[in-house]
Amino acid sequence: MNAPLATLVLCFAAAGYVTVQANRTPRFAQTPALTAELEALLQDQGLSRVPLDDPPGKIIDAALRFDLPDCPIDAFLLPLPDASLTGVQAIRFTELTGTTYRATSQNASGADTPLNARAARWLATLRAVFGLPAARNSHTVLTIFMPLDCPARAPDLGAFWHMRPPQQ
Amino acid sequence: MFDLRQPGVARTSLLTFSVIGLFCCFALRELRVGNWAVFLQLAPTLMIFPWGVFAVAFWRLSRASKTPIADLRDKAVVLLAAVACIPLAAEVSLAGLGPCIGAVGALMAFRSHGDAQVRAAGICLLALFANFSVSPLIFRLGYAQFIGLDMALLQGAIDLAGVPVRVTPAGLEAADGLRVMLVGACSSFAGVSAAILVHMGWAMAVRTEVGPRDVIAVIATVGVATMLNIIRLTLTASGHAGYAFWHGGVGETPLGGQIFWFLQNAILLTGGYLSAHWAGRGARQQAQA
Repeated sequence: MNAPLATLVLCFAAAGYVTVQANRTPRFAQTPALTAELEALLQDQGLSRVPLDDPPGKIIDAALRFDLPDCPIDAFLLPLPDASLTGVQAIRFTELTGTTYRATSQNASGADTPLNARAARWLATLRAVFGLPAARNSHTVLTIFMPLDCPARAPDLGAFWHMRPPQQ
Repeated sequence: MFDLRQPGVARTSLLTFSVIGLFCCFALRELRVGNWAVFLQLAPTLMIFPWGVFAVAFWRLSRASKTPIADLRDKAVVLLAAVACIPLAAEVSLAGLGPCIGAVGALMAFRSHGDAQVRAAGICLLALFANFSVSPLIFRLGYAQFIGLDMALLQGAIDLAGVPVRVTPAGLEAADGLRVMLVGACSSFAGVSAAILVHMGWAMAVRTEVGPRDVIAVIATVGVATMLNIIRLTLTASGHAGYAFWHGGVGETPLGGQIFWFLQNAILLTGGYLSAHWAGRGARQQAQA
């Protein structure tokens, strides 16, 4: 085999190896401490975590949407942040009346943004969202989604989170 | 298939090797090799169209002339694409692989040296590039406009069907209290590039010419794809029962969703085939003239 073809084969073999490694690597690793903090925060707001097999997400009254560059299309999601999550560009909250709150906007690169700072920003955003004076419907549901095309790449996140206020 | 005894590398061999490499990267990612649990989870949503378009590209390349020798530019483009693949392969979506496929596709489509088979294979790769990278980028840039247009189309469909659903800036409100928001994944335009991909895949499978009728055929295929999704959204938003049947919660695909998925693929494949044939007649007439 001559040099160009041999080079091609080597390059694609390397690309294949990288692909397989990327398949194995969780994209959004759960951070237990952050998970606990987030859950506590939401409980403070009168929300409780409900089991996966009790999906309340059929009515979506409130949701957070993140634009992730590594997803083919925008999706409704809240993956728990970790160092591998890069390029969170915007967090928007659409309240029932249609008002859009642009909570934060950034061009983050994972390497430059420490996890703690980012986690704090996310939590601050959540606080801002739930602290808004707008009337909340009694069945407000915060559904935390993974990106539609990416959930399988985050098997360790596994569980989708569905949170809602305790039943009245 | 390959003629490696020539003093230089045969152009077709070089191109075929590069398409095989690109296909392997695509397949490894799509099949989640190394993580079978994830693959099984995502298998029902596996996109089938790109596989077919890759197959058409291979078929066209297998019929290409074996005699031309690759020149420096051919080698440079193909090797650069292969090297770029290494870091881009770590990208979680196909958007990373797209530019590499696009570069090789452009080389084949625009420097075919008069070989219609190579050009047809290149057009297939360009359609894949559009599907993997260009379309998501356009969708992201025009997200608000696309969703706005979706809502307007939905409003029209709801009015036409007489479904008691109120369209508000925040979403859709059914008579029985169901409220849903429209997000990117629900957009009718999320399937536009898939419709283009299907049409171009079929077109290059049945002929090697591209004509003006292809533009009309692509618009028609895209129209069908958009209309199908609007129908589904209307049914989904019609009430709790409609939502449960046609959409379901996160991670579940109810019967209606499966029926829709099957119908959509079947209609796109059939429509793409018919439109490719219809457009082909125009292209052949133009070539003969």
